[in-house]
Amino acid sequence: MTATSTATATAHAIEVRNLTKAYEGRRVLQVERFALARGAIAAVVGPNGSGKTTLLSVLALLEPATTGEITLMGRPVGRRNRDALRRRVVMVHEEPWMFAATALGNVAYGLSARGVGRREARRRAAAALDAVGMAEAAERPARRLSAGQRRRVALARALAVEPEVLLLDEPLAGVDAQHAGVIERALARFPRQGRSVMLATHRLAAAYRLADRCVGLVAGRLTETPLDNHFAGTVVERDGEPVMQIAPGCTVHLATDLRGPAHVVIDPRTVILSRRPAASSARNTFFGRVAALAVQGDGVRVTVDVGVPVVAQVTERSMRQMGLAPGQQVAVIFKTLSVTVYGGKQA
Amino acid sequence: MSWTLDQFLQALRLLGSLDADVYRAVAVSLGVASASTVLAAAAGLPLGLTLGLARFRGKRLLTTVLHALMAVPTVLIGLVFYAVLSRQGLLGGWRLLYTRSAIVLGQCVLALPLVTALAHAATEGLDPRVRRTARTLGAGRWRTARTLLSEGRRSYLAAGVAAFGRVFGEVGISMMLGGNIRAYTRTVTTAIALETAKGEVALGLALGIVLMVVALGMNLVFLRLHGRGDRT
Repeated sequence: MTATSTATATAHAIEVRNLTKAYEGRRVLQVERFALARGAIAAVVGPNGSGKTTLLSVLALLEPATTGEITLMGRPVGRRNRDALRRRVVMVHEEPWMFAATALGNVAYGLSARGVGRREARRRAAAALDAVGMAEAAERPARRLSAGQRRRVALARALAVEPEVLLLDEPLAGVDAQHAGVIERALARFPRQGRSVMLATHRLAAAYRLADRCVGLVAGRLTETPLDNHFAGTVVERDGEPVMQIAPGCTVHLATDLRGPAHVVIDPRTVILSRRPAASSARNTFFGRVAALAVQGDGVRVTVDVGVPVVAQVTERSMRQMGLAPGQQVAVIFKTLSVTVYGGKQA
Repeated sequence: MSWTLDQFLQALRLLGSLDADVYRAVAVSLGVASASTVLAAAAGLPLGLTLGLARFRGKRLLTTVLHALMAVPTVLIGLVFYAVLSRQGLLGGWRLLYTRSAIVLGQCVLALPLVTALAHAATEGLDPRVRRTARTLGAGRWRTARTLLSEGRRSYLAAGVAAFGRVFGEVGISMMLGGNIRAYTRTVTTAIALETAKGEVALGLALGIVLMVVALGMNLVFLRLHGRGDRT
């Protein structure tokens, strides 16, 4: 393995610089910097349509980036080594395609594409199927399997070729609790072998459970803080209304049927800043001091300390009009509807 | 009306007493049509696959030209090859005119745009995940192409069936390049043309029935292959 011995100098499985991806002139992805360490599990969390699948496809070298550099296992991806590097990364799609073959035949595909002999390929494919708890379904036509089973076959198909980087798009969507455990255990084995996993999900709770690092992806841009205004706590009922305490003396009103331990995310674009307490229909009003101002993209990120930092995204014009400055006292206002609740159980 | 009916009834009676010449014509028809379909598919499937996957300037124009080529009349293809293959023609030295090879050559040109266009459509109709999955699992160019052909085999097979139907039933090329030589280049269609010209309408009709039966039989064979693709 001369290919890896020269590359072990770098600790990163993936490195990305100034990556953009545009479709017909419309930019859908813009990542200034991103690195995935070897043996790490990272989660990209973002709402549907934020560019998660596109990001994974570009990193899997299935789609060319419009601009920017990608380095895989210490090697900059270029026209010449693209095909070779692609073999060291496997992406599992959210709705995986099953070839017209048995489950075993599907799992053996990547091995036979690598020139592994038929008997050996079937043996290793069977082991991979066993690792995801699908050994009994080996000889069944893959397309006749349920959606959850197809996902597990797809994961086995990726595990079988022992890639150095595994890219998973929504690995747990549509998988029942029992089998989610199987998948989690299969993934947990991965980093111990020095392999890396990057998974994309819109479910924050899943991301926190599976990954040792979470980054956010909003409108094609990565944020190293997983998501702005992400808080963990317990949804309880107070005066017949669901609330979550996110800091001492700081209780957020919610619009949700969910109760119990959960995560909440407040979209920074919907957070209003006011110099005076305003009489409005918004149920959540907190007071605090401006802790930080940062120009980001075409707006300004204003961090207000209300006991915990809450981020509001405002335009530069409104920042100037309000005369916002660090240390200034402001009211932070948002509606219950701008708070998204993840996790928890139906009330 | 009674004359027409009479011819049909005669044709049905003749079916029972068809001679060796008819079977030879059927054999020639099947032989040249199969050869030209296989050759056209060998070139047209990769072309259509490439056209379906590649992105390049002028692709739309090329597709339009391809679709226009599907409408070229057989007699025109026959004429062009006649001019090329005649003794004084460009490739006259090959002495191909009035041979079965000449018919195969012409029929290939007839079937190629059809196979290519249908394979192109089949490729574009394939789920994009097929290619992505093959590639991410490490399949190279050839392996990916094989996987695409295999996953879309019903549509690609349909392209072959359509091509076979087109060449099996054509008469212009067979007549002009084959010359309708008895027991050598006489196909079922050229035989029909000849018998009808001779006034043997009933025999022509009988041959027409044979043609339809053989075509139906071939399609049933394809249908079986089709069904086999369906089960996995």
